[in-house]
Amino acid sequence: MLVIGCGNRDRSDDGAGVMVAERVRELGVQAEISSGESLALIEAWSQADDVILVDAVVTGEPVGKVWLWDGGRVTTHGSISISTHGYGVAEAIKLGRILDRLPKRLRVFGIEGRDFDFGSEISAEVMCAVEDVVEQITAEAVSDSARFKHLERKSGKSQVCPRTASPCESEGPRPTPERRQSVLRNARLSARG
Amino acid sequence: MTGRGARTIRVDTLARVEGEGSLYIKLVGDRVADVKLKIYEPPRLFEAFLRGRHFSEAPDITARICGICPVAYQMSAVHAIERALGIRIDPAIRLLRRLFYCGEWIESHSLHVYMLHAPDFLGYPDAIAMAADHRAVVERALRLKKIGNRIVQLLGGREIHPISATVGGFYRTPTKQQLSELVSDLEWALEASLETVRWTAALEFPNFEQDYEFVALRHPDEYPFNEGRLVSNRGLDIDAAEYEDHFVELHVKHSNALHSVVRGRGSYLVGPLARFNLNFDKLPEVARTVALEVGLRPPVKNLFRSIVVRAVELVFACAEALRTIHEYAPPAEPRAEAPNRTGVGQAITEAPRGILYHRYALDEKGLIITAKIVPPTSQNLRQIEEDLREYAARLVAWPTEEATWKCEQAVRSYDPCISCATHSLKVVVEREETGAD
Repeated sequence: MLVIGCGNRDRSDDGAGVMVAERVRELGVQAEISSGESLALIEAWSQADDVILVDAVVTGEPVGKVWLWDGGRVTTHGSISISTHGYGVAEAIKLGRILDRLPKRLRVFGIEGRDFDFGSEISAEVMCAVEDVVEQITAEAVSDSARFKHLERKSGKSQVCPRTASPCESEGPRPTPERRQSVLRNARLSARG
Repeated sequence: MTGRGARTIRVDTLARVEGEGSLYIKLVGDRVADVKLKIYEPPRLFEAFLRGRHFSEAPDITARICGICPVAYQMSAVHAIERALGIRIDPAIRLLRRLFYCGEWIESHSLHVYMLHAPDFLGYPDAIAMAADHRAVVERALRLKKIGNRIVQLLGGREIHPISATVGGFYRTPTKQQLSELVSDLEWALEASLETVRWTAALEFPNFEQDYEFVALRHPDEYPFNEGRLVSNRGLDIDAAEYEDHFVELHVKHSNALHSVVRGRGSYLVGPLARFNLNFDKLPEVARTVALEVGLRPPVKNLFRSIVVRAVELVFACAEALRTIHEYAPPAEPRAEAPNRTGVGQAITEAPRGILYHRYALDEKGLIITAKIVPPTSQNLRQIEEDLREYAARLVAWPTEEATWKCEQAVRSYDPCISCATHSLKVVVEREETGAD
């Protein structure tokens, strides 16, 4: 499994994907950081069969909402990635599909952001969403392979929202299996267009 | 003809350019009443916040001006500061810097030729739509760009905003073996670049020639990257230290990027066309031969043909990269000593889009007193507006949508980097009917 965190840490909530990549890497999961530029992304994910891409998104849903899309099926109509020349994450998926250069399995976590202005401050809701995604990824990595056995213990530490230093529950409920199903369902709906 | 009315060509956000800005052209009858390339990005103030920083920080700070041409910023910065400090660099470092620049040109030119500019000629809205019908072409672009990235990553420590270049040399220099590992890729890239020249030369070009003042570096022995006198086809022949005696930046109300002009003459053109026309004899034989094969010989005055010239420069960059790797022997030290001292230094290097001027004044502690940076797009802005004034006049009979497309294509011929000039591009073409006469 390869995690690719997209975004810009100096653009407030756009740093969410990068932060997820940094966090899971600390926990031993293979992760890369990308600006989100299409060609670089295609190169990055060509190294792996199973890729999880994480990026900040704006869909109009509440800030901090976590989406999970199937990158192989999702229909993209645009990208909020602040990338050079306008070739971002959405374009990378489209181009990867045309060129048969999508990984066998590509999942996209979208974290709903609010503020994309200059600065390194990330919204509290987004920080909690980051922890949510980190937990989901590491939990899968743990169950995925014996190589990640050491994660089981470490991943338990990610229960505190780093920004507010309070349990994430205070910002909203932890994602339950039902909620995850709901996110998946939304993603599927979205994938259908 | 619809030339009786007045209309405006507006492109609110120019696509496939680096950064953001907009284009506004007002047509009244058969006349172009107004052309504004509006650069609305806020000023980025790099020159101001370099003040008080140590000179050693300048290459890394200025590299942040652009994600496409950070090597150019690092090179102009280190050369200007080395001049201020009176530092001489090892010939092996000079060779590595040329290789570093080759990497950036390969990245930038392959991106622009295939992904940003080619869709205009083939009638696609973007490279993704183009990829569906021209898959092999886009695959070639991706592989070429990746090879450029590898060079920048190896010498610079990472692909974007490299961090290894410093005043006096590099923080770390590669081994001969590391460079040799690039050879097979570069040999493929050279062949792919030759194909790129032939492919671009077969595109259809609007018949639009202008009498430009071309400005580029010229070196006695080399196609220019880091060194040379600044020359033009109108008699300019100066050292970088004299740049500000001959060029001046003007503020215009509609642009947050300054417009640079030649004192007493006005607009001028920098970039591939200027380099090619002023340095054709310095291209390696393989590049000259393919240029002549496709009928490209100086002076090229049609800016739309810059896509072919970029492809010829891709050939040059690949051939030059192979040459530098072949000649390279690691230096005794990765960098020369750079002691603090007072001084003023200027340098001009050739970014993919044209000349990039830096000047630094340093105090006895090596702190920057003043800095001046003139990026290539600022130098082309006045020329872009003048070209559009001429070009739009030929499009008055065209439907607005097509005229808008053509004007965007013209702007993209410059490969403008608005991030460098300030930071981003919108386009607007407006037609205003005034009724028949």
